[in-house]
Amino acid sequence: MSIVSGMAVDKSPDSENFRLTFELLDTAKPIKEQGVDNEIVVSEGKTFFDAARNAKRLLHNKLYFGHMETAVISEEIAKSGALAQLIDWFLRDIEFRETLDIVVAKGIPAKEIFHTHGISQPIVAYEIERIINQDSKITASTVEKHLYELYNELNMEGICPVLPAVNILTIDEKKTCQVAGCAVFKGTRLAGYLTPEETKYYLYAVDRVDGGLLTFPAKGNGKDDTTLEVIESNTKISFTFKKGKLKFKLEPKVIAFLDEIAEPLDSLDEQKIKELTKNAEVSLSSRIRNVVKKVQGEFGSDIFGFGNMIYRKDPKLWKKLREDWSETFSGLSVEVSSKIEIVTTSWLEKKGV
Amino acid sequence: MQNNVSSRRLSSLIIVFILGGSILLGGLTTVEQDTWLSLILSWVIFLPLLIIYIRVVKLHPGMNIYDIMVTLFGKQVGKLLTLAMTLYFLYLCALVLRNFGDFIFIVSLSETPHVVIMISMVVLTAYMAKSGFDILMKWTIITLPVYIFLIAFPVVISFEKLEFSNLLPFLNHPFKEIIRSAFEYFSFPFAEIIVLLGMSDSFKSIKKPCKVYICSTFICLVFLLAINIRNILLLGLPMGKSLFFPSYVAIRLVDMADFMSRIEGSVSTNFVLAGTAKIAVCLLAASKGMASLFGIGDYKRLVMPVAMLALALATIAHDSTMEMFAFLAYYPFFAFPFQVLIPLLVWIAGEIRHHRNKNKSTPAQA
Repeated sequence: MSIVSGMAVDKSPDSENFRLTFELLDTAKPIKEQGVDNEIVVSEGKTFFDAARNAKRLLHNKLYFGHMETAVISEEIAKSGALAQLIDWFLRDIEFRETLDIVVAKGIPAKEIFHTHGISQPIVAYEIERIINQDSKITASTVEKHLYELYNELNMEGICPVLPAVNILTIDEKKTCQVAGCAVFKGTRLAGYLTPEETKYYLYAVDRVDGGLLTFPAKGNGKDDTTLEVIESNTKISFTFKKGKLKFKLEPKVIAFLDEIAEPLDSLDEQKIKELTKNAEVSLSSRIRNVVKKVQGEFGSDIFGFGNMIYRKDPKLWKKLREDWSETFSGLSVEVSSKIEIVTTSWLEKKGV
Repeated sequence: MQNNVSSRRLSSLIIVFILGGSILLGGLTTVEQDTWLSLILSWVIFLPLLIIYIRVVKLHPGMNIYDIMVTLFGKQVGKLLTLAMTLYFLYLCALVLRNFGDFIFIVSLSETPHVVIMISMVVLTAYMAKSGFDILMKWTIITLPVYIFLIAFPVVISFEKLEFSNLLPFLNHPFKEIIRSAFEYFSFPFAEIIVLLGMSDSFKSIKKPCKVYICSTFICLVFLLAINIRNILLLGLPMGKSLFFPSYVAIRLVDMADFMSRIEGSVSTNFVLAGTAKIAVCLLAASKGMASLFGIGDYKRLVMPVAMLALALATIAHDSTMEMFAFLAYYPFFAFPFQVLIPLLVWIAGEIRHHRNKNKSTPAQA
């Protein structure tokens, strides 16, 4: 049995075929001395499954997908709408796990990802999966989307999916993969990308933040020079519909530690903390607003699930809006008012006056 | 030997029997997130029927449905009705067998022929049916905790992944649809309890039959609700609705810090456990029917032939898994005569006879 850890999906450059690149766990070499290594196999076929079976032509064993954790799709595939077909195969086939991660290779052929070198472990697919999995608690710079969640989002009312994006970084001529924000979809088609920074504020808007940092300028403008470590974050999302006007309100509530500040410590009194909090709130609100505006203007795809929220809370209203939701979404007025509470200044005590 | 039935055993048999198929299918009907409402409604609709069943058993102590029908309607009509009921039980047996055969076929042994899987199940269940009603009931006491584990475990482990907003919007389906789906639950699984009337000669020692039946079907309702809501909360709706076996996938999602994951291999066998009890009960009822039909005293001699019939029926009844699942939508209509009409007829005839006897010669009866 050849155990597949990850799969990259590309269009074949010279035909209509799909080209799949598999990362296999190399179980032939002695594992004790050098750990598990990876092996790359490439095959082509008319459909995804066909391509996977064709890999048997160059392998002694059939591929086994039960331990596959990451599927990387190329931009071309993401733009072509073939994602739906891929997901169908993944879900229909009993071997694939419903919890596997689907990621988009940003600006590079998907197969390149498996030709990189994993820093913490040699199996690139598992490395990516761990990076994404830990992300919402540590950095909040991408989304984790399991296969079944993606399927749900593609088939639910009023929501468009977002997938993590990966690209390649070269450090001292050694290539390694890194997670680079997220890819925004409109239906099954790729619409564009959010940077890691933008993704963070997107996550605040959809209440998916479990940690990470917030940076902001201490004086209210200029360069970011102060850092908060987020301990807990909850965003209340609500909407009102009055006189034919739809209005959404996002209210993130963040509990954070003050962890880095450029100003002299002496000045850190009650008054100063209040001022810092105020500036942090203003900065968070405006950045969330900017991301919402960008998504509305550039992509017009409801990745915030606003439509879904209306469907859930007021299905009758949704029935009316459903038809031209895409336009309604682009012109939607969204109000953001954040609340931040700095509970401690960490190891260093503030100097009282 | 079979006369000593405790109410605890009977209720565990009822629970295991009713949950048998549903624990696997996890049934989401067309009303999606309002399914729980249909479930509750179906139990309410089912209650009067249950009371009729209990009344039928009470009017004719020590008899099973076949004996009752022959006594009430005479030999010819009685035997005809017996044949109809027996065939229904046989078909039910085949359907459950096929269902679980398909489950194993799809989930784990896709290169093993269907028949081989079903033969192994049939041999086991025939042995269970042959061991008798009493042993069967004792066995369900052991398997019941496994059921509870199967239902509760994914919920406890994946509690933080439960998405409660999946239950919204509430009442988004027309009430007609909800009632229709309630009737689906009414016929599968609740009213399938009619199978137990095929062996009601064995439980005349039950003290408070009403309490036992109503309590145990209520427990079933609670479990069914738990399975249903769990699947919606864990999987989400489009996913939960698209799957043949959502409960199995709910267990596949269990992942506790990379340490407790991929447990479905060890758990899936337990789903089959649930099916075997149901198949065995149907088999037992069908064999008793056959025995009464042909005037054979000991039904146990007929268990194996009936099991073979069920196996053959399971093989030819449906061409594919899709067809079998599509048929489930029509099942309420198919089962209606056996679950409602015939029992209703038996009950009315029984009441009339009971009253006539009482008026005619009370002392003679006593």
